[in-house]
Amino acid sequence: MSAGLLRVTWLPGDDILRGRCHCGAETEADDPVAIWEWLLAHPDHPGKS
Amino acid sequence: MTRCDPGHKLAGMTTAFVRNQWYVAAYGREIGRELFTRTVCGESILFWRTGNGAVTAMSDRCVHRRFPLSEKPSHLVGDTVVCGYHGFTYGADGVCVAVPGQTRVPRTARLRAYPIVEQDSFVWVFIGDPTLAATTRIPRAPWLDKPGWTVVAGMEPLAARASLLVDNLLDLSHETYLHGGYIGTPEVAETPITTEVDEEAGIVYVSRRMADAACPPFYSNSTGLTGRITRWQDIEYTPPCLYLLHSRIAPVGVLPNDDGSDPDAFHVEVVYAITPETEHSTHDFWAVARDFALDDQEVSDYLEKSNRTVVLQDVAALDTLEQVIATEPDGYQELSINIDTGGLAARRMLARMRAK
Repeated sequence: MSAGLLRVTWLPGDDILRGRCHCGAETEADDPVAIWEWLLAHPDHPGKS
Repeated sequence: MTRCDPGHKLAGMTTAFVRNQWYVAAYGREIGRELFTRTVCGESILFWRTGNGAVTAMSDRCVHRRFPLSEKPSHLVGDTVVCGYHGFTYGADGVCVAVPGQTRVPRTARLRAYPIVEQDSFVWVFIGDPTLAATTRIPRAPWLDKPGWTVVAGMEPLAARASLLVDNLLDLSHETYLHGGYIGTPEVAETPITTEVDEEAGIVYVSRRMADAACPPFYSNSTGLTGRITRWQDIEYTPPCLYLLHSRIAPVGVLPNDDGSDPDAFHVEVVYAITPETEHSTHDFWAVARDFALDDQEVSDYLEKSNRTVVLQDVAALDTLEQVIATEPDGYQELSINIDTGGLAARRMLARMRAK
């Protein structure tokens, strides 16, 4: 994934959104507000080990 | 249904301008040897062309008593503009060259001049610190002035804040409901989107690709396609001003070739320039460029009429919405669901630009 690119995919056949940060971290949520908050928290993504 | 966030507030609905950016002020064809005025981000700007065809832009207020220089009997004399009230006369750079009744022209007698670039049929004006203009990107819409493409275009005044139009254009699922019978079909609202934010380039992308969809009249009447279609809607928004919708229409199952060529599809580039006029009004520039039926005037007439109708449907809805939210108390809430993913990304990018 190119530097600085954030992607949110709406999974086909589902209501779930998958967010992927340019650092490779991923999350899923059913709320676009939560997805953007998680992505824009880079590098401190909530719940990232 | 997707769970919604009932606590989300309209933080992105601010009316504040994003400064130190280029905005579309006019189509190049609007500006000639007549004085022309347009307000951009709350600044009243005077435009005219010099004798050699260059566009100039300067404050539309005489430094003397603030008379609008676009107002008759103000007029051009060669490459100077003469104020119709007391005759203060300004050159193409905005510097006052003559005042009535005395030979000394006050050193401070100059109009604010604005950086201008004519590109892709638009006249772009820089709002903010002019020393930043040269290093600030002007996004491109090359199809508007390019061989092999035919363009219809217009501009509609919108009595609503610019952020409402951004919201509208980033979520095309509204086509199904607001623009049914023109560009909307059930598949638009039903098809999931992919949203990308390029933080470095400052661009929001929203892609909706329908593999098997009804062909709306806008496309069936212009392309001649009668059956079901493959319809791609790829949005590319470069905040704050330029929005592109790369639209691809083809019979179901017809895809681009491996080498990227795409001879069996119809391509339409829908361009919007979203230029704030005031905090509660917007210049809604729209253009539709196509790579088919290039010389067919009937197709041009149809697309111009249809797209203007669609734009006016948006204008009516957003004018109403502006009236509603302008009178809401602070802290009112809204609800966002999956279709809003792109619009939320645009809001956040605009907020960051505004805070710079």
